[in-house]
Amino acid sequence: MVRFFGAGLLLGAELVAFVAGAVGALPQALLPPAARYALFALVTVPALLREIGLVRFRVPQNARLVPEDVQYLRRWGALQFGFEMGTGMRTYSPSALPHLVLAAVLLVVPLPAAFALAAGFALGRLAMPLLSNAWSDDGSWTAVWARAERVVRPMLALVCVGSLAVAMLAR
Amino acid sequence: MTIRWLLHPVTAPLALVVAGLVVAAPVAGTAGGVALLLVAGAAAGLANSGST
Repeated sequence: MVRFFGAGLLLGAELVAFVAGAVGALPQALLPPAARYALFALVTVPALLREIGLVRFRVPQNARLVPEDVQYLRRWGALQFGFEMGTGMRTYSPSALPHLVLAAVLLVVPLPAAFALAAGFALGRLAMPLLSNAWSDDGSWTAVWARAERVVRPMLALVCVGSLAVAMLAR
Repeated sequence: MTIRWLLHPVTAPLALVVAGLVVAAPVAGTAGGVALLLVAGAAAGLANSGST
């Protein structure tokens, strides 16, 4: 079940990367780098401030809950659900970081490299349910996460922005 | 026996920091860039997950 869910996550994320990369080829071809980086900074700064907790605003999301029986899915059901989750458009988004990496693919990351971002997204998305299941069977992970969230979210934002910045500057 | 601290929510972003700073950043060229993008994507994926 995990393999199918993981494969679905990867497929969904790579599809979004391909579409966004294809769409992003236009601004990347037409706009000068300075303009593209300035636009990307306009997305990055508020996203970073949001993740650190200094500002609050809603991000575009699919406000739809995941049904509880999804944990009983097998094979193709898990693949399909993973695919939907891999697109990042299946349910609520508690974070602005997926939007930030999407903006990166549109504006500053070339298409082939976008596939690496997508693979990383799928891995990160897979890690959380694996950690949760390994922690315990009683759902206590949710409380642990809630206590750690104020520290974890800024860390993830800084890692994401820092890695993107170094990757782009080193090109 | 499960090593609980390995599963704690703080461990994953710390591992990504280490992966970014120690593993990916010093690697020159395309491989380093790809590794950094993997780290950035993984951070976004983890953040997107919420509690599950």
